[in-house]
Amino acid sequence: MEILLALVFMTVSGYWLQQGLAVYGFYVDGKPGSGFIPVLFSILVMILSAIALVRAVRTKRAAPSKATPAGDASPTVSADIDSWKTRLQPLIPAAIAIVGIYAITYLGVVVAVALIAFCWVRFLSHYTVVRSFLFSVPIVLFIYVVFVWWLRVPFPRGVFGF
Amino acid sequence: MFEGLKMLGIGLGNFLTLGTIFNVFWATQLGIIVGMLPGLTATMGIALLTTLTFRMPADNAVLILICMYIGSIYGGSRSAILLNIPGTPANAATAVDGHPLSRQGRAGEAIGIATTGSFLGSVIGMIMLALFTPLIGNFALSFQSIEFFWLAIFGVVISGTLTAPKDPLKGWISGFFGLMIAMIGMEGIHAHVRFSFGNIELSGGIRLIPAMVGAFGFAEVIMMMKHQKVEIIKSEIKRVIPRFMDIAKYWKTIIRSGLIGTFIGAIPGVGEDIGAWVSYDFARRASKESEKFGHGSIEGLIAAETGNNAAVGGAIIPVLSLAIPGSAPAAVLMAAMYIHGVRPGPLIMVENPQFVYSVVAMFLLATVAMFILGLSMVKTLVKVLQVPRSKLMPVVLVLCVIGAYAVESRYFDIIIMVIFGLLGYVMQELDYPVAPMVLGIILGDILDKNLRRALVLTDGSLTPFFTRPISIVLIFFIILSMVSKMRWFNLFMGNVKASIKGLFKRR
Repeated sequence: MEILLALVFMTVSGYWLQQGLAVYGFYVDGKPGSGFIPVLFSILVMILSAIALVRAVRTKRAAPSKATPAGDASPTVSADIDSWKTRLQPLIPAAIAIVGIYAITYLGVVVAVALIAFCWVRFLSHYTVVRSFLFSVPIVLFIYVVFVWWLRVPFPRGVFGF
Repeated sequence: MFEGLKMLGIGLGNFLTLGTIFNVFWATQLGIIVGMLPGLTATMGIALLTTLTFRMPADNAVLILICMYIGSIYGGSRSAILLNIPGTPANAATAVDGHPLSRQGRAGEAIGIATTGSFLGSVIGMIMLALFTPLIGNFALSFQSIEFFWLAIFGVVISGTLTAPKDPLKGWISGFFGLMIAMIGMEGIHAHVRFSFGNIELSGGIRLIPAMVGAFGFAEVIMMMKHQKVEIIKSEIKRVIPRFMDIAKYWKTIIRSGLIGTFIGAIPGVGEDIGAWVSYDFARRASKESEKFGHGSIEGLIAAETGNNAAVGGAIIPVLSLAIPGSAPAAVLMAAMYIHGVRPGPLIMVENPQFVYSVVAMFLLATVAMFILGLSMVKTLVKVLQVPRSKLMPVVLVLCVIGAYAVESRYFDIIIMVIFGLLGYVMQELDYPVAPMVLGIILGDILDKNLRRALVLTDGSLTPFFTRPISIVLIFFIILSMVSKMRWFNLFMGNVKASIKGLFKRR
């Protein structure tokens, strides 16, 4: 993961460097162009992330590799599944938020908020259907009163007209 | 001096209405609750509250946010004392002595002492805010583009150094990456659109509030998915109001911690957590009872709480005088000021000096409210700590989604919020501090404009960048803060010290 993040930083700064030099211009008519600062900082980030990358690779090499016991595949497979579950778990809120964007567009803010809250407590906190429903009602009321009624945020009206 | 007092009086007078006092108390109480709940931080609280106050008049909105700031930094001491889990990172040092006191059956006493320490720290921070903001603001009027460029670099570097003490390299990467992100959108000199990937929404740049709601709020929701379990320890709470002698005995520690906290808070992007740790460390070194530290020392608890709350005042000094935030919550506060049309920076003392003293008045009201609320309803509020995270997180998630959308009514801001939430989560998991990145996003525009303006004014010559007196001082500190973290430098300094000692011994 450490190596991956360092590579992401290097790739992004590489793109910034290329765009700064080729598209926006480093020095234009004897004056610093729009690409001047992006070039400077992308070079800095590239150097620093390259150091971080070298360090991460060295640390990984120095760490003892995990040996798999011969003839005992099943615990490793289940551990792998657990590890992937743990890794993917943080993506659940992101997925809910993305679904929330579309839900607000098509269903309106009231139904969308109710759905987000209900799905969370029902499927992630494992509440009963009735408890999940009772839990999501005050959240919807709060959002409606504060954002729609008080702050008058112009939310799109969904298929239900509210 | 008298002019300042007069403006402070006017500021205070403007706020002494029933409606404003009501706002002060509910916002401070909400701040205490946000601070108390592990996982909800001061930055998240201010960012979410910004989305609720953006339609209010500027004075009221900033007042509510300052109450949230002060309340949450103090509120974190409750969970630090009772659960050994700091409610906010600023209260980590509080847990070291606060929790052992709680285990000894002195939870009420610890809460009372933490409240008084926070109150006194806030008062010291407020006095420093009133004294130094006009001074620094007036001094900064002599700054030109070159100085602002170096000041922004200094802010990013020092923030990276201090927020990642184990590996400053990660802090610097985070800070400079933030500066790169700030380059997205229309630039200020030629109005060229940069790094927008053909997306119209990106041509306006990355909006600060969604980015911060994501990096500090949504990232916490994601973190909670991974670390769900919290052990709740029931503590008996008896007397809360502290004895005068318990506090008066440590007056030197209080003043020292207040001053250290303010100073650390004023360093760009550093924040209350480091203010608390440095104050705690100084108190331990200077104490006659240093053996008690870590085992329930009243002095240690006072030092940590005075330090973190004094840092709040310190963090607002550079916001108002230089438009450079001293901490992550102060960065959100500054973004909120921009939303309300207040432009902090050196010119504020010329254009709107009343606002500076109004902020001091807001600080005073929030501090008094925190003290009153902190010493009352303690037993009732402790029950809030028993709210399971499974109930809390969907509320925070909904507020993050709706709040990110509400400020400018753009779906794109929700996407920005999610992206920064994921980025913030990955960075935190790999020990990359998020605060320097946020500081970089804020300072990127200032830095870009000032460097290019300076180069145009100097006909492309770099010499003035290294010859102006203030620039030389800033460059010295930038190099020192980077080099001081390198192994060879520490070895070299160790050898120099040993040589000097040897020389004196021989004589």
